Amino acid sequence: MPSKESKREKAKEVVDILEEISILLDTDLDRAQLSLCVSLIENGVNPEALANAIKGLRREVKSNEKALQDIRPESSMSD
Amino acid sequence: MATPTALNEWLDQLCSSIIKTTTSSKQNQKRLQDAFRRHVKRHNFARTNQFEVAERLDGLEEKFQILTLDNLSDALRERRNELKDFQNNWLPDVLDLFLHLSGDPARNERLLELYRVPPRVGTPPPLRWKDLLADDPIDLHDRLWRMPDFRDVDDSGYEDDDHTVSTPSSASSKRYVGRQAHDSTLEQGKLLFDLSDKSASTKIYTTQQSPPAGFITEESFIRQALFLLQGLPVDVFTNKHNGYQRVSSVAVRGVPNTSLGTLADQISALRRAHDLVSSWIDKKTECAYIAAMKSAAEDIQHEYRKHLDAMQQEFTEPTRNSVISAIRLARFIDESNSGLAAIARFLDEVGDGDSVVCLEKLYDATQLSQLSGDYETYICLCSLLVPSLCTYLRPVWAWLENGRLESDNEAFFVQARSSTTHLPKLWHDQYLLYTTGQSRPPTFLASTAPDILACGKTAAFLSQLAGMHNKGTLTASSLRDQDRFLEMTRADPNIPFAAWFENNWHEVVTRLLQSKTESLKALLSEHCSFEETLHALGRVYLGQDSVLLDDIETKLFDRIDRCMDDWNDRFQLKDMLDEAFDAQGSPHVPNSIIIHSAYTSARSMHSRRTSVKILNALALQYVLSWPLANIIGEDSMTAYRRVALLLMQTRRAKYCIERTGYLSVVSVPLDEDATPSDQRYAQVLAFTLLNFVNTLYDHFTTTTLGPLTHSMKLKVRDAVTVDEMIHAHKNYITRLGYSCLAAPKVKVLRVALIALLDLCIRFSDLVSNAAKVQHVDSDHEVSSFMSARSRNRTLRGDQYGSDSEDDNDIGQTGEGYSSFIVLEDDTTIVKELRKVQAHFQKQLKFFVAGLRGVGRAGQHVQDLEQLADRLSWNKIT
Repeated sequence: MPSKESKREKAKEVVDILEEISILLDTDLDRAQLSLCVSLIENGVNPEALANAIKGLRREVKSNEKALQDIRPESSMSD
Repeated sequence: MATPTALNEWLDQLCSSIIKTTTSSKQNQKRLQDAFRRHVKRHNFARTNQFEVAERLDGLEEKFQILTLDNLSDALRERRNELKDFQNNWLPDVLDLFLHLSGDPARNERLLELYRVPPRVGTPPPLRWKDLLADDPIDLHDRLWRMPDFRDVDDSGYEDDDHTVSTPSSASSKRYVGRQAHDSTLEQGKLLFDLSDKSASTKIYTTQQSPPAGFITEESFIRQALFLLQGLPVDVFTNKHNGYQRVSSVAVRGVPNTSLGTLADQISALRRAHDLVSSWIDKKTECAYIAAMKSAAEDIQHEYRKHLDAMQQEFTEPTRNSVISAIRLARFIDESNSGLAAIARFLDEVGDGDSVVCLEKLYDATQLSQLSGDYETYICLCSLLVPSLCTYLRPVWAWLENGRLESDNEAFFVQARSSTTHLPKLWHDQYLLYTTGQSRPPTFLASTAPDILACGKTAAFLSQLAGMHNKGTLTASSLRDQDRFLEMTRADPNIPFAAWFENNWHEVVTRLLQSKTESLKALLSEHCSFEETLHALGRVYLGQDSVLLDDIETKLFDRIDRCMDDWNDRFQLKDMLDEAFDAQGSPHVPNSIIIHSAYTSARSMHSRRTSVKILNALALQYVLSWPLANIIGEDSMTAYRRVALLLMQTRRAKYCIERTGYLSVVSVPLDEDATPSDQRYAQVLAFTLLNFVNTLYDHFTTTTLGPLTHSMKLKVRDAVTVDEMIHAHKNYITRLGYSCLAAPKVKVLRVALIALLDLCIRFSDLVSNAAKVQHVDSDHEVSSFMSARSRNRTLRGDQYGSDSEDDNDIGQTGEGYSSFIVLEDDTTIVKELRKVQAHFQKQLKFFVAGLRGVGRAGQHVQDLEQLADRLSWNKIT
């Protein structure tokens, strides 16, 4: 259907533009993550809460990775 | 609205994409997901304020601009504008999310990552040359694509250009950031400079490190020429001792060597002119008119710099209509060169000259430029000359109008000799006109300098005479107002500037001088009694009032004949003068007379009275007021006294003959042995001597003094300047001195005249009281038998006690007529008279010959010949 096609195209174009803005603002979101965020926000998720959650998650991931890196050199040394 | 299940699923997916499952255990992952969900769903945050989001994004753009990340700012703005086309309510929320997740976009610039983003749907691919050529191929052999050859001659230094067609390279075309197609010729991630980027234009101004050799582009040459004209060092021109010169190994592509040489010479000349003018302006000066000249030159230099800046602007930011070429540069140099070059030329002529030379050279250069038809140079030099001239003339105006000199102005050619003013010498000695040195007048004012001096002195004279500062009135003249002066010079370029200025100036000075002189003459006449003083001098010195003189001199000569040693007593003479002038209705005249009496001779009164030289012991000094003392100098007063003395001596001789000699020969026999013929002889001799004296006196007074005095008064009245008045009077005195034999140069004649006059007295003595010692009459006291000492003693005892000269008093003091002649035994009166006659004839002959000789020699003494003729008729038979 032409209207659906044009809507899709428009939506895609909007996401393209948002992706470029996301890159310019250094948000570190790839396209998939951006699409998920846009979907969540469209369905009422608070953007500030979402942003804080993402930031908290990233911190956790980073700290876990750092902990894992600290453990791995010790294990190699014992071997 | 999506279901909660869908939401949870999205959240899990998002969480998973962030966690990256390979690095974490499932248990941990589960935990993180739960926490993620919890944080998203349970919160206390308010709804997104879209206006706040817009403001924050605007602030971010401004921040990027401030940090000179214009590309980032422009990219962000561009995309925000694109988003406005899409009406979505959740877009501000998404942007809010970005703002919260934003790291440090200023530092972590991600413009390059935009290249990795696939092009948007529907974006047309960039246009490439091969696409155009495929669509519309061009004929490479068409003349349109050939490179034109601008060479006039085939110089060996030029490279041989192949007429190849250069198609625009695809690598030089603009690439739009973020929207380029994947071009195989372009390296990924390489950012090319946009030519519209202003920061790249600064590369144009860098100069090469080593001197160029070979060919440079026209643009490079123009750039370096502009740098040179701005005063910066360049490589194409070297600074030698005689100025800047082009490096000979440098050639410009497309410009012939001869043309290049000419252009380079013009550039060097302009730079040299600029440096010369700058160094001259920077030199300090204490001369006010030179400072005004430098200020005007600075304005011209400022205009040149503005013009140069405009040229620079035209070069760096060319417009559609501007063409930067060597021809344009040459035109610019032509337009800029006239002012600075004209100033540099006249500075070259000045060299090490002083300030006056500088002004003279500028004046000459201005005049010459107008006469040669170089109107632009003339206007430029006028703008320097007029302010300088107006500043130079400022003290001159003050001097002309008020007679006032500025104490600290050493540039003016009139200076005061001393700080104090000696009023009687105000005109002659107070002011000095410099004709040499640094204070001399410039050549174009030299002809009017004496008039300027005279006018100022007249103004100073008026100021002193009026008793208050003569403020005067400002003289209206176009030479006074700088703007009007400048306007007049430009009004009609055909009117010769020098002739106009000098004529105007001469007219102003002459008019001022005339008006000041008229005012001064009126003041001298009304307040200083100038005419009355001249008349008084005539009466006192020149015998113009015979009644007055007769009254005084009768008493005086009588005192001499009575052998009174105090005959010239000042106080008694003062009383005589007061009485005589009072009787004539001029009681104020004696107040200005000082009587000088001398008692220097050691001879007795008896011997002194036999000569008219006795009158040298008496002199009258008429004291002039200081204004008149400036007109009638001290030397003129000395001449007056000398003439007065000679006239008095003549009158003395005349008195002796008239009162004594003639009466004696007519009424009294000479002696007891005298015959009638002897008596007759004595009478004839008396007539002869009387005739001589009368002729002489008449010549002095009627023939000489009268006409000369009348002529002098007319000249003084008609004099245009004070100098003319002084000159007229001085001329009169000079002629008077010669005509009355009072001048030093005719001393010989005067001595001869004195001898003749003494002979008259001798004759009178002989015929009046000649007697032998043994025939003394007891009724007459013979003073020759009285010692001078006893006579003087008696005189001193009575002169302060009595002023009267009655016979009784004379008899009591022992004074009497002392003209006694004691004859030797072998001589008689007649014999003595014959001796007198012989001496008289001889002396007269000598005197007449001397008069003729002097009369023929000079132009002032022609009347002496007339006197000689009249005297030669006086023959004694």
